[in-house]
Amino acid sequence: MYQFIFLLILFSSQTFAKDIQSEQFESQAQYHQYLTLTHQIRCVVCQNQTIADSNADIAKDLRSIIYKKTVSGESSSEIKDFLVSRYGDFILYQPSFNKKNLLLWLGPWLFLILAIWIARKSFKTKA
Amino acid sequence: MKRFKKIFTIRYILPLSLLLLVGYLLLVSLSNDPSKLPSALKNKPLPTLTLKEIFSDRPESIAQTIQGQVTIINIWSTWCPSCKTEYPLIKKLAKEPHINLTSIVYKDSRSRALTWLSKNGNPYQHVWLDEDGSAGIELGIYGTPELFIVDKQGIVRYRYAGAIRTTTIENNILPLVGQLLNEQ
Repeated sequence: MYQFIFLLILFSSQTFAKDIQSEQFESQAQYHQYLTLTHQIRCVVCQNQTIADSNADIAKDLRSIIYKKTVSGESSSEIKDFLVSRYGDFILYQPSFNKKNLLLWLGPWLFLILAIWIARKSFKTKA
Repeated sequence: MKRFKKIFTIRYILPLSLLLLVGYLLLVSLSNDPSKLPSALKNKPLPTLTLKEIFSDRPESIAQTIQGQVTIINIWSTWCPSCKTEYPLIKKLAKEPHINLTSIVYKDSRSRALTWLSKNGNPYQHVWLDEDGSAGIELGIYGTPELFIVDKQGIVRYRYAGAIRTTTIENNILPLVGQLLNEQ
């Protein structure tokens, strides 16, 4: 019984993005673009999930918008730009590399360099 | 003594200050409510939205309808509990002088919205219907209720996510509307 429940839980974790089937696209490339985008866009109400993994209403709506725009021939970057213009950079699961996000991207490297510098100085003074 | 000071600073003071700095940043980020993110539309033109006016059942361009006026657009739905909570305040807001209060019914049906308005009273000058939620995404909304203030030039100047309170009206909405009315 427990094994059955375990298997049920394991296989019930699904990608909601597949609610829209590949047959609904004109080409495999469009379907691939749609799937990739749904994994790159954040669900704005359940923030640690992409819209591919979320069953929230807003995630469904965002998937539907991405589907419509993909089928109408818009490119990935055009669709991303549209969503960023409505929800801000926050909607991108992987933030873009720009002036505003500079510290976010470079901060960890700066800290690493500083840590190495401290460690080296510290060892030197010990010696 | 000088050398000891240098060693002490590098080995203890510097790492400790860094740790405190990181801790402080984490603490600050904990108190950040991600649902209170500013609207990406702030200070940008209201997106082109053509929606059916609920009473006439005819499509209207919102930007054209509200052109030249300071307008409040409230996004609501009949199925949203917070919208019910804020409704008395919305009605109160509509009674304030010089307020052009309009609304978009989000992901709802015309019949349910009409029933709601006839039962609870209609404080809105215009009510548009966004049946499939696409206008909601154009406006970058997270859910209902949300409130936008658009200036005479059609620029979004304010967004409030969640049910409004008396303090929201007194401290934010009315002063901003007053200021926008005086702008050319």
